[in-house]
Amino acid sequence: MGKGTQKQLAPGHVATRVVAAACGGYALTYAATACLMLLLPLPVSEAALTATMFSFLIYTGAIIWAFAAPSLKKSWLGLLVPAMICAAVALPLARAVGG
Amino acid sequence: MKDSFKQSMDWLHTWGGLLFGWLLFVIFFTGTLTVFDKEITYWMQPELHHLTPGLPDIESAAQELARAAPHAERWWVELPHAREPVLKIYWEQAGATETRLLEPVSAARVQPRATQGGDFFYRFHYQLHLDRPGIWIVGAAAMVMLVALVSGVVIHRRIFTDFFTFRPTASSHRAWLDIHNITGVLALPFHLMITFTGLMIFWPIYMPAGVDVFYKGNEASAYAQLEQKFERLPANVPAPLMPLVDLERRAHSYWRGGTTQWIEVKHPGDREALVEITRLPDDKLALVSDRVTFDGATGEVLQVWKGERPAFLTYSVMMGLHYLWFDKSIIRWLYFLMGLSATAMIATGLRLWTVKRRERHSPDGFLFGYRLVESLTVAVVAGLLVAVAVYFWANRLLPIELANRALWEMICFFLAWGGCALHTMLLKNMASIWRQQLSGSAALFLLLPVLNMVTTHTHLITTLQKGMWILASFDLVCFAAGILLGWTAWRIGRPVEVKAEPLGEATFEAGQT
Amino acid sequence: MHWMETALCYSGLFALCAGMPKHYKQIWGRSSSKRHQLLIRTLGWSALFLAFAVSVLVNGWSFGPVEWVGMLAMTGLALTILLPYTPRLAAWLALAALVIAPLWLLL
Repeated sequence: MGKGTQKQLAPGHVATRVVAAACGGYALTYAATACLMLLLPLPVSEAALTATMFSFLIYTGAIIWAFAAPSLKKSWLGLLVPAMICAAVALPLARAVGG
Repeated sequence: MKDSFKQSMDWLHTWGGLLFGWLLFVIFFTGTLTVFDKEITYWMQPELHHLTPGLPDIESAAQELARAAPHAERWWVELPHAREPVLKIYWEQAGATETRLLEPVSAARVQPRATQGGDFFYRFHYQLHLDRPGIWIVGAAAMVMLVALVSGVVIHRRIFTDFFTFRPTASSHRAWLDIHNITGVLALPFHLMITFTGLMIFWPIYMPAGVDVFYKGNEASAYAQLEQKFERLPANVPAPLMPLVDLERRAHSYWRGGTTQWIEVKHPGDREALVEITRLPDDKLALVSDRVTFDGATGEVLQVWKGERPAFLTYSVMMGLHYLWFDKSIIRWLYFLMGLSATAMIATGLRLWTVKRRERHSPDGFLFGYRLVESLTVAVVAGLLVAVAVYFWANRLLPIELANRALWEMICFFLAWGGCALHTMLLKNMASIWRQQLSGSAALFLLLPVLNMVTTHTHLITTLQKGMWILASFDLVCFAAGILLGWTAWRIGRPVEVKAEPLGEATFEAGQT
Repeated sequence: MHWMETALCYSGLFALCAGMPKHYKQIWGRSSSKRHQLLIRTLGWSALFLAFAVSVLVNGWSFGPVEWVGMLAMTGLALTILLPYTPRLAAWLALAALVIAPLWLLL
């Protein structure tokens, strides 16, 4: 997304990255955490705790990605595509568990 | 976002740090004070200072409860311990909870002055006195803190070679950057741990995937499965309650040493009454309260619970690392100092933002944006220090019989803080504002032990003589704070000589945005 | 024993610091050979490992590491703040700590 030494950032660009980080990042984290806890072969409360511990690390990574991604498109896709994959895996499993 | 990963992280660190820095300063400073919350509460209640430790009279406490609330749904007895030498009883009736404080040995009633004590800082720290929305705001700030720490490490050019680098006589910007770096890097494991464990505490609120998936969004049932408490409904058939002191003694046979913290009675006086004896978690890193549950009417053991499963224990260690319930004073003092280090890291970071831009753009000119940032920084940093001192002054000066006394102490705190905020708008010279507010807080802290001498019997001279270390430490820390703040105020007043860098090398400066 | 731990942390960190060319120059005003620096740094790491062992001995395996990390942070800060103002004092403190702490233990 551009060459040059000191890029001037349009406020719209910054705002989009912030939304991507906050909301897109949260969506990815939620989906990935749900996915992880349904896949872990542990008792219910153990799986929930373990996956949740990783969730804060995932969210941190997601926020960093949202701002580090070379383009706005990659920023959003890098968050939403994994989120949708995780959701696709997690939803049927969650329904089976009754959640 | 920018041309390189490092530049993007630089931008993120600078702006995330600035926008959340004021909030994070408040969270970390109140958190640091919360390390000694019980000690602060004790200092703020001089009526309790004469209490001598001894074996608590559980039976008299139980009788007091039977007198005060014979038809309550639940009773609690909280036994005294090293940091809190008073016996407390609580009861829940018709949805409301009441408390009474008793002397440990005689179980006579004590009524110290109404105050929030150290809990004021505790509630400020995790919810900014705003309940649920406050918890959300603090959580968001904590996530930004994690990102700021990670990005800070990424952009720190020479984190190992500059590990011990501190150049107080270099340019203003470089000196502040050095302080920001050393307070950050030397205690980095602490900063990462405390932020992460803080987020884990409220995981059902911050990351409710676990609660939604397995417990249909019901937080209460999630906790219930973690704690596995034995519950049952009352029969509405009266039956006398077994003596609590016997049950408490029997509970010890299921534990390896240790003392009791809580005795809870559910449906006292009912045939289906339950008595839960909970152990004080002060000797383990994992914050797990072992528990024995008895049938209240027959004394039969219904459940012996110890936290055992691996993820639960890991989670409990995280809780333990943050809540600091264990009785290790050296570690407690280290946490206090590292908390101050984190607070200093945040404050210097805020200072750095302005200093760098002033050096680069307009050293003497007045730019509204910079002025706003500087004013906010003084108001939050120096203002908070003044407000904390005023809170303690109010505790000693407000009349004891004043209605809503605890609320008035809080009002004094916020009035002082507001006053400091207004003060930042009065003068043009930022350095003067810093100097005045820091001097103000220095004077208030230095004179606090003197005020203590005038208003109570347990002042520094007595407490040092009698070995009452909790109270003596409080006064001594106030002295130290006063001296440190006074020195800082004095330093700000002097023009700084910029010497050539003694280490003789040019270093790339982070933060080119 | 806690004093021993503090002394070892401070001295160990001082050694790691003095083993860096720029700080060696800052303290003693001259440069030293690479071998000399390596020796000092090795002594430093040894002191830190010893401090860890002492902490675990006194506090157990759960509290030991916690106290050690905290102790390192605080002694490190003290050292870093002393260094630009009084580098020689920082050096003497490291020596004194290593001598006095074991004596304290024996008393």
